[in-house]
Amino acid sequence: MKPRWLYIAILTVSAILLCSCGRGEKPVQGSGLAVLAQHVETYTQARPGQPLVFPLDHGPHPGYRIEWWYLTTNLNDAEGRAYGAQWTLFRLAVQPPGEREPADAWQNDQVFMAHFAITTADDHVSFQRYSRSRQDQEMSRAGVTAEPFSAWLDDWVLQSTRSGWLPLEVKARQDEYALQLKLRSSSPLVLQGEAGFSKKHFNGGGSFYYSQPFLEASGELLINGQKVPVTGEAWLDREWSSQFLQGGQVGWDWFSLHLESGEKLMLFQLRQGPGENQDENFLQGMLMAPDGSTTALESGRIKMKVVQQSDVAGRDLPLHWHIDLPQIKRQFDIRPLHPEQWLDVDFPYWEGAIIVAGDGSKNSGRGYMELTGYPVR
Amino acid sequence: MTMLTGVLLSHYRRHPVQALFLLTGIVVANVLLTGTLLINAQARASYDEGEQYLSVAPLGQIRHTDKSRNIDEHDYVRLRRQGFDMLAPLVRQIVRDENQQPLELLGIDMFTMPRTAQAMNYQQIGQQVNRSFIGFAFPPYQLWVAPARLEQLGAANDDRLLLASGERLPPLVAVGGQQLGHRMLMDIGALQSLTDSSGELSSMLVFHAPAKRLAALSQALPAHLEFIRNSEAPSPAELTHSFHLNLAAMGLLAFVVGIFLTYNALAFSYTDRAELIRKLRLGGVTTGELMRALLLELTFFLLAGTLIGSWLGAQMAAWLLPGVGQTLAQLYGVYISYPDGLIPAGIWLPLLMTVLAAGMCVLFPLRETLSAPMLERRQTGWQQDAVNRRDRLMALTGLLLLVVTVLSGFWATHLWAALMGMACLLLGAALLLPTVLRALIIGLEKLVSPRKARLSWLLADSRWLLGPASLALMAMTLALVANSGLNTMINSFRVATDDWLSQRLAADLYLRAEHKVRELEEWMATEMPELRVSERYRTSLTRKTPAGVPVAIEAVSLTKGERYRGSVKLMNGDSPEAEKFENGAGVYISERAWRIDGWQAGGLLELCEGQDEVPILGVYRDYGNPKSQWMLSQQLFRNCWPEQRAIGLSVYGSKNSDWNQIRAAISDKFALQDDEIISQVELKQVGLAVFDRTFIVTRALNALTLLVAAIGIFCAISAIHHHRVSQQALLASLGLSRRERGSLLLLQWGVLGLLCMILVWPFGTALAGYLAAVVTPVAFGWSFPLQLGWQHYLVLALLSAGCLMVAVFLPSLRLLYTSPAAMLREQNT
Repeated sequence: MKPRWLYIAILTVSAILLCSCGRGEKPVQGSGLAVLAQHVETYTQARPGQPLVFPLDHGPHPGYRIEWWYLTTNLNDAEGRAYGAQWTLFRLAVQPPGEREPADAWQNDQVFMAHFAITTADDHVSFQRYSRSRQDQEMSRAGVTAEPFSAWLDDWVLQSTRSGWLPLEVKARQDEYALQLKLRSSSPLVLQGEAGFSKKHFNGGGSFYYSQPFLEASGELLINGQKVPVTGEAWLDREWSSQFLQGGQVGWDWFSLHLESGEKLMLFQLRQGPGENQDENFLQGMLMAPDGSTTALESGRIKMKVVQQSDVAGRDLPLHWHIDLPQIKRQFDIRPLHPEQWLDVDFPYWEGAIIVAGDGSKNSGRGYMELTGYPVR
Repeated sequence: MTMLTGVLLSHYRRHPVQALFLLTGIVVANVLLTGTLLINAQARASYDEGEQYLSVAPLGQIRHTDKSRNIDEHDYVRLRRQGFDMLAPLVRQIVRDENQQPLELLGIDMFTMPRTAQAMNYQQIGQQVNRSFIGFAFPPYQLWVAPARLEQLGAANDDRLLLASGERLPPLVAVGGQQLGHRMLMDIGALQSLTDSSGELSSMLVFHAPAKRLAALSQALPAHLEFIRNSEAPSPAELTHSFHLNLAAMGLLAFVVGIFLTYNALAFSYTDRAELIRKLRLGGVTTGELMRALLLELTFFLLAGTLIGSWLGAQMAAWLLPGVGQTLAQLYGVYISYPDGLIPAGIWLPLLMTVLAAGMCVLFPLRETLSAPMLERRQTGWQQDAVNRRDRLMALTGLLLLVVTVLSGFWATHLWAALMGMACLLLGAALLLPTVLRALIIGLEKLVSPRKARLSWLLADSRWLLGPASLALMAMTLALVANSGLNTMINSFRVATDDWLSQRLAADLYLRAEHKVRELEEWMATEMPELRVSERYRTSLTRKTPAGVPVAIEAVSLTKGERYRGSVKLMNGDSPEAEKFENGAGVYISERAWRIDGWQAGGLLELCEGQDEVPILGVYRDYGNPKSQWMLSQQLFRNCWPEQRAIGLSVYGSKNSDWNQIRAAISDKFALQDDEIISQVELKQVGLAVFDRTFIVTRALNALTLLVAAIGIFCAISAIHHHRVSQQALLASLGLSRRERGSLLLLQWGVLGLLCMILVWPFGTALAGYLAAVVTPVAFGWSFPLQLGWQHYLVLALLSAGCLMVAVFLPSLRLLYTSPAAMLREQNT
């Protein structure tokens, strides 16, 4: 899972529902949970035991409230300099499909939001765009089709280049920054959680979640008008759900690691708010081997410890971590490529490239980390 | 000095009303001046900022090269998907509400607005109106308006305005701080659906982007689209220059009225203190010290008056601004923003003007007071010979000013010269007043038999009264002349517009349905063969005037045939050129194109590429159009712009045609909305309604000027009462009852008011004539014949006489109820 959606979803969907809920309500500033709870039943619910079907599930699920196509990449240029790039498309439903007739050609109750960010060794830029989807895909600035797969918002596009799912290409450009990569993989996609149903809370709620973590990326970045040829690793996450944060949860920390052993590791922690019992933080993980075999890591057997906090965007952010996984007898020390990887978008969060030091060379590597729900001091 | 000032100020302790009047004069001078200055400043600020959308100003717009056409939405989506994210779609529509009031609607896609606008939405608007952008973009949608506009509409939040088409707009939401002005903002899809224009955009807004990306955008545009930067678009400031100058002139007029009153109050306050000043001088106070003390006192009044006046002016500006915005929107298609609160007022200019004007005012009475012989007790403040001298001087000056007016009438080519001529006319009228009044009273005296002692006394006393009261009467006359002149002008203009509309609207039915023209024509040819249907064409051009200045021109077509030929009346007489025109051998131009832009009948103009220059065959009137217009025969129009689609149809038939039935049949068949099919009668009503609303602000300011004059008169007459004590004492001791004295007082001022009207009538008419023949043609390029009416003068006469009588009656109550002995005592103190 990528719990990143929670934070963004709460704020965005809260804003969206603010009106749907009727007049006289206070704008959602921290009261998002209550608002979200009101309408949740009208959307399709993610439940365990429902098999994922491909290529259909690469496409949108408008009956669910929120969904995303989330790509992170760790790249190097010819001189070995490290870069990170992120491309994300969020789909948000304003109303479940069929609740009301489309009032005009411009709306079908689906809104898209996209983020695009590039990190260099000492810099970070991030951009956002919005669009609503329209009934006529031809006239839609944003949309997703399952087959042939294409997800787009203007010229920010993630799409299959051949008739099948892979290989993919990703493109985005904003002013003097751009991203254009080919994404290939011979490894299969991985269903997270229980056959694609990923639990988010001890009470059993969750989302559908699968990943394509073994992507090899090659292409070009445009950084401040300069073209930089790059190669590296990419990780695509797909997730959709209508079930949101449960009472007491305020944010999360999420990690995707590319290890030198060739394995991939996904970890997340949903944090309880201040004053709540921190032992109730919900943790999960998955170790994935290139051959597609997986090892699920359960909540009680993941130990995440903050080594150091840094001051970023007026917040205390835990950028340096020590992670102990006794279940698979591994330990990791995680630091950011640099601290300033803050996405200064409407719903800001920290998302950036990280360096992983493990016990033994095969446990080292790189990856991406996301930190959300940290309040301004 | 402080003690001396204290002694001098003690006069106001005994006569606080006099201090109040002085202050009122200064306040009155400042209110309308500040108000109009602020309105103009606000408009200028709006023009400087340029059009804004959710507080973000675009760099320009992408439009169809044929400006009368809309953009296909496919072009927009294609460009966005090529990565031109600086583009946002815009739909602009004018719909009519149930009262046929035009409503300007802007349709935007909130999701495409630049981030600054979006972020502002989430954070500010969400909190401000308890709603978010999604409420705006999804059913039932919202209609965002400036709070001042909501008030102007007389509506409340969540109301849904009913349109002439029978549909309802989304619920209204007042949103502050968005520079919306007169326009209303709604979701683009909702607006397209409402106006049946799906798939079409009026333009694409181009927001800030790096220069390279903008260059790439220009490269990527298909041939039928063009990027017009704001700097290349016609400047609204230039377009509306005349309007703002007129507004400023009204402010100045009120200022002059106020200064008259200030002068009056000052003169009284000095005359009343002549005895005190004489005593002070006898006591050893030097003239220099006295002057400094009096100037210090004046400074205090000026500061206080200007501050109060400016504050009231700011209130007035905030109150009038939506009206001004409406006028600008209807007259010029220009939108200004309304601030949510008061407009911050700068008082320096009004203060400087007031100080200068008051400085001039104080000069004469101050000199007279300080140079009075010390040992001679002053008996009366108004020596007849001095008054006569003063009046003669004023009359002479007045005559000179009138000569200037006449000259400017002939030579004025610029608005400032025309307005100066108008100011001379007004001042000339006012300055002539005392002399004319005196002559009239002397004439009356000759008519009255000497046996009618009371009447004789009344007239003789009125003649004396001209000394102290003439300034107040002049101020009133000034305001009345301005009021009656403007009123006659507006009424004449309205009659001219009415006549012009009747003549110009040759067809019985007008259809505005660009897409359906062909279908409509074919259907009507088979279903309604008895009707005559013709296409109407219009396009926008930019051409250089003979002086080389680029201006926006509107080119329209005129259908061949007797009926349409008769709808265009040329100003240089009905010409034998009609045939040439119909054969496409020349064009007609609007009066504005002639007067303002300088094309001449008989000259040539460059019509379109690939055509030789064509002769100008005549000039026609085109009231209400802020743009210059060229009229071409339909054949010539089609030759020039063959790609141009007809914008609509005009239809006429026999007198017996049942237009209601025809109209219903057409709109049913082609699903036309009410505003797409409109009858001649309705079109005329709409035209006149627009005319009336255009002059709302002028009328309001006009009424305010009159109100200001009334306040002034009240103050001035109240001030005069002190000088009437001896007369009252005399009359009382002669045995006149209180009732008789009261009647005499009222009669006396009533006569004076009516006599003033004798001057107001010719000068008001002259002013109206000057406005119609000189100011309006120079300012707008429209001229019209004067319509004289007497009703308004009657109303004004009654109003002024009534106003004078009330003004006399209230302050004179004290005189009437004071015993003769007390009055005589007061006279001797």
